[in-house]
Amino acid sequence: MKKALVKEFRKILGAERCLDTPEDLYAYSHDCYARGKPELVLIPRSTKEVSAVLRLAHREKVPVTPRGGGSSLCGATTPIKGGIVLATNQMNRILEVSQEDRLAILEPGVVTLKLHQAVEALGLFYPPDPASYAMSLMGGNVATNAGGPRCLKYGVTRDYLLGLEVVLADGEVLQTGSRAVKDVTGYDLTRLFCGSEGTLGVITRITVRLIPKPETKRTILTSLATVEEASCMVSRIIGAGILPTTLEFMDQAYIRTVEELMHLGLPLEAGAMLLIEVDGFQEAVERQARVVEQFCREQGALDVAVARTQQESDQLWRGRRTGTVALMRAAKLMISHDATVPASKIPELVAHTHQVAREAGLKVVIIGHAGDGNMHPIFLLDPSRQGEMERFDKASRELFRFTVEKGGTLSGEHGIGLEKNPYLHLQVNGIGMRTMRAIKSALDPQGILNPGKFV
Amino acid sequence: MLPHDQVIKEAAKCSGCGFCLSVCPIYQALGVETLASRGRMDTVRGMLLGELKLSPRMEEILSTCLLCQACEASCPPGAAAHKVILEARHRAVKEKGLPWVKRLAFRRLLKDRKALARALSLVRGIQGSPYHKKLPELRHLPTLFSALAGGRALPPMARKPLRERFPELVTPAPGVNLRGRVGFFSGCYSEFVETAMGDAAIRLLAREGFQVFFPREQVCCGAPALYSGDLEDTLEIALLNAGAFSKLELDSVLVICATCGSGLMEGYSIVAQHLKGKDKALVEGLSQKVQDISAFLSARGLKERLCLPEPMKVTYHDPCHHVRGQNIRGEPRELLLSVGNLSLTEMAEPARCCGGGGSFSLNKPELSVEIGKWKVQDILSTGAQAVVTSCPGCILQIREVAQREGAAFRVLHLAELLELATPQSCMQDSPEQIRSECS
Repeated sequence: MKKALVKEFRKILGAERCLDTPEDLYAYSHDCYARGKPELVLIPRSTKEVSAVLRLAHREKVPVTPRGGGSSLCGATTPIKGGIVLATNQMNRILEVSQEDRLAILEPGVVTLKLHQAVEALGLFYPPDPASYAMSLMGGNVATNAGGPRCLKYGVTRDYLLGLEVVLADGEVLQTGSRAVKDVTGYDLTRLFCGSEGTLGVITRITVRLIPKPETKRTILTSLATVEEASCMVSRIIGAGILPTTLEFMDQAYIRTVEELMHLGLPLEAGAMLLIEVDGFQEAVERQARVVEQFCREQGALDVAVARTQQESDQLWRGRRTGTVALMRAAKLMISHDATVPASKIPELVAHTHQVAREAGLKVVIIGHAGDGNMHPIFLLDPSRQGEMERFDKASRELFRFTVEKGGTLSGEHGIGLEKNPYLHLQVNGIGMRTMRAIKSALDPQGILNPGKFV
Repeated sequence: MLPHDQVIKEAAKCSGCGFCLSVCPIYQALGVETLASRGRMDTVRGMLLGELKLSPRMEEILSTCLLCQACEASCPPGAAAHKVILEARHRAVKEKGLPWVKRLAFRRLLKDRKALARALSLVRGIQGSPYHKKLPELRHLPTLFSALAGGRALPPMARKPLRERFPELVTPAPGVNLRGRVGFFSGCYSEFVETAMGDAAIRLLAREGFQVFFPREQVCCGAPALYSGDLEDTLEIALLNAGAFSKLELDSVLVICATCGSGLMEGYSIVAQHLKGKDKALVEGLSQKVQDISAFLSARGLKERLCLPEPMKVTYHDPCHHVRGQNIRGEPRELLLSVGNLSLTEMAEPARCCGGGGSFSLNKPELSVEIGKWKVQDILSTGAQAVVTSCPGCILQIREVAQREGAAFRVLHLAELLELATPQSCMQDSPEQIRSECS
């Protein structure tokens, strides 16, 4: 990047928020998945600054890769064409929480957990809870349409957006949506930007819908003989009119690997475990928990445990929460997919994943959000082994193909980024790609926003 | 300081997930990834692998770390970031040398209690003078000189160092059942600045039936040199301290400072790898004997039931070097909860760093105070009359920031709190009487 141009950016943001030392470029070059090489890191504090930066970048045709918490698992925020990394974390104010209108207005740098805390203090609830919620930023959540375990019952980020303020590629500021829950005026631009992974504009303000905070919850952990039985349990529970908050699935390979590492006393003979949470009013929760427990017993569950206190609940979550941490510590490299299929296809996906991994000589364990078919096959890899990564790539391709064939999707919640870009065509056909390209070129004719992703 | 392979292995554990950013105080204060947990780990690894140089920015990255280890506690793969930083700082010292202030302090004063006492009496002289208010605070002596630029308040120096207030061997009063022999490691702060916490600890131990050896040859624990990456001086200091305690056949060597404890335990076990034969055995021997007073006492239980003269609501702050450095969390609370008339209210994040970080508070005064304010706010929210903790560094930091913020709570060392409480059986006796019996 030319020195004169850097100077212009520095004029907009000041030296402290315009960084170009090799160290700064190194630190902002990557996410979990991939490393790129930016030429400049800019940290704006207002919409006005973002707008000024984009106007200049547009004029000079400089790539701009927006960045939130940088917790992406798929290279969504990796700058692969140089240019600018635009970090939004210092735009971190919650501007309004309205109890009457049940909404919050915030800047993109607000940490998801901080939003949870702020609204829950007022008896309100913002459900999306991606695993990284303690540090992920709301701007990133919107840009990737983040999900999480609670989304079975409550839906994903998309379902809570009322409106956005977005700075477009040329620096113009677009307002979408309104403060109203019902809003059918014009195209639904809000949802167009949600999940666009920074390729269409930079989100600078977010209006989210809030719901009343559930009074209480119950956690139930059960183990079943086979994946099919677990799957059957899931449809029985939902069929009985119970929509659990969370329905976490763990397969036998996961149970056995975690047990070997941690000795938690998990049932080695179980084909699958289900962690079920129901929430709502006290009486309703009691009744739902009773029904779920009864179903488990009728299904011939190997065991059933119901937690009544937070402490007991934490205990039941241990195998799931600390288990993944233990895997991360044990594996040289852990890559988690998020292929998602219709709930009825879970047994097929689990069986096929293991078969593909076996044939490729790879180690895989599977957890997932069973209620919505969002599975996480976790590959435990050793890149130093001859040909391991090539075999992993081949196995991934086959799994993506299978997922799409079964009516599912490449990504349930992690996003496309660099990781799944090569597979986009499996799901989006020629007309789909053409439509996406038309949108992209209308909003970002120079192609400066997060280039190399999507289209 | 640490074997290259081991450090690279630790650094390689970082998967870049960024969970640490949710707890890194520097990230929360500055909002710049380069200077915070994940970016620091990443760039430092880059330097250790030769991809980045020891540039001025890299030096800033290295110095803008409190070594609070919060990132490690939140790290799914469990990368020991502090070891990586320590090694990088060590390489920086090897490449560029120490700043002259640190060089003077580490080379001369840390190893020589008399020189340190002389330097401090000089400081005391200045304190008494009208220039007093212009001077910054003082903790470890090495920071004295850099402190001249820090602009922070100065706590009053003790008129009489701790060592002049006790004999080398303090024995329990006649009739008290003998429960063991312990060594006492005073640390610079309670030795020269606030002797009250050392006073309280020694008396408490004697009252509880322990013979307390307070060898005069001991010097600074060396943590300031160690955490600056100065291996050479840390080694010399470690040998002096190991020599001071080696011949006494003690059950334990007790510390009342979380940082001294971590320095003596983990730090000495690291530097001992650079020694051989008898010296190595000596330093490792001391390292294995060291224990924090709260861990020591809670494992054995207090003999007498203590009771505060009046009801008091307190909250407890976990020093980084306790909760993460030594895995001490329950022990001080157990001791507190055994005291009558005391109610313990937990603050929101008791294990969050207070922002002191030893010489960090002097090198980065504004940042340190900003982080300190969150702690003071957390304490205020509990409505406690006093915050109790186990590290003089935290005490100094919290007290100073509280003063700036106009907060009225007291800041006490755990030993001082236990001193305020008296054995229930001697409630009628005045505290002075009990004290004189014991010392």
